[in-house]
Amino acid sequence: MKIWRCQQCGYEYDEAQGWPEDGIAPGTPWEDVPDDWSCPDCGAAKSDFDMVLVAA
Amino acid sequence: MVGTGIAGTTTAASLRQQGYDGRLLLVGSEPHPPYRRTALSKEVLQGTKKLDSVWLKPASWYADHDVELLTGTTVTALSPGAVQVSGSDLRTDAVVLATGGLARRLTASPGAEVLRTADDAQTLLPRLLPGARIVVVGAGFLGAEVASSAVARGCSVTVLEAAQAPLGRVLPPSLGALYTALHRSRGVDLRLGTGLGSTRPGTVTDTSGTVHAMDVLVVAVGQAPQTRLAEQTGLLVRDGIVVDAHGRTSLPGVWAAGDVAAFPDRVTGAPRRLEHWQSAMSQGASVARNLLGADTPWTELPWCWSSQHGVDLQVCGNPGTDDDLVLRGRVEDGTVTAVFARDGRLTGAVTIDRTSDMRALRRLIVDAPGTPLALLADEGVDLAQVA
Repeated sequence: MKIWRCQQCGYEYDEAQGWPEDGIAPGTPWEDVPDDWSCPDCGAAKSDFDMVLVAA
Repeated sequence: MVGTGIAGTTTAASLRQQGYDGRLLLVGSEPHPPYRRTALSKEVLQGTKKLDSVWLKPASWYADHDVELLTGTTVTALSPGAVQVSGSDLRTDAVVLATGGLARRLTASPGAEVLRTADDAQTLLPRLLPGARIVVVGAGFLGAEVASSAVARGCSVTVLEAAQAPLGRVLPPSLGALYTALHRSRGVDLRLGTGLGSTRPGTVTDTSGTVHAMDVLVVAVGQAPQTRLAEQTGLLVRDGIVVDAHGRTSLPGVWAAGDVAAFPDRVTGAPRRLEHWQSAMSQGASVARNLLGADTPWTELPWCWSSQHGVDLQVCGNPGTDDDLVLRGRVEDGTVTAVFARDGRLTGAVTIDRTSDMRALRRLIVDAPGTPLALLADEGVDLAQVA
């Protein structure tokens, strides 16, 4: 499971958590998040997210 | 929607999301499809993202959502029930003015570069060559980000700022000093208490009489709201287009959102223009709902962010420079949260490389503004729990 961070506002999408408010179930990998999904905090596009490496 | 920035684009997207199925026109004078303006001074100038990777919507989105996008097009007249676009009149049921602002220029240097549009960025980008001497006038968000991006490109950067610290509109002096140190430590020649005196080919002279070598001069001294169409139509304009909490202008059927709109301040109620991505977006969304008959006043807590030299800065609310304040963390460590209050009520917060605090504080300031500052100063207190 990976974490993706919005480059604009810092919101982190955690694949393990998903984003149920937008119908994205926990465990949804980033590539399965719809392309027109946007940052729940600031509305930036999906393409404005970068993967972050998280210490194990 | 007049204006293809985040306010106009969000209005269109929200109207569709709310089920509106009538005709939707998104008209803007910029030649590009809607893009993320906040990326221009950062990723685009740094060269890490090209313009075509910061579009707000995928190219197919407009057709998929039946939104007619007219770029490079100026609305020349507005009257109740109609707009004039490219010389022809179009009947309208509603108009949303989201015309944003224009970069202010200085009479001492009318030909200097500014950065407001994607075209401005495209002009500036090839000139930020390694070793190029860049002089930036103004150390607000934009000037400070341009300086940071130019340093990342290997330029030699001088910044002239009239105040005694950068980012003076949003930061109290103690945190301003942190940013003075940050910029200087990354090689920016930050000159405070000075401004642009005069320019000659290859040099600028600041108002203290110091001469700086210059290949490129960038003026970043704020924006002027683009209110011409509104004024010409006779709408109430005071700095920005004055709207009520629902986004209605003084003319029925005409609404406004984004940088150009002066919504009532959530605390004082006085018309107040904001120049931030988040307010532009959420005002657009509110206006869309209200257009369709909802009753959703816009009362959002202002929130904005910046990134300079890799350090994340976020500000929410309206922290005043003479408000009470407590710090979580230490300024000397370069990562700190400041929470502000006035008369026992929380007014705002600043986080420096502490994004997770901001999430909790934004909620707390809205939901529990009476929370004692002293409680928040305790690093042992989990902000998310309090919120």
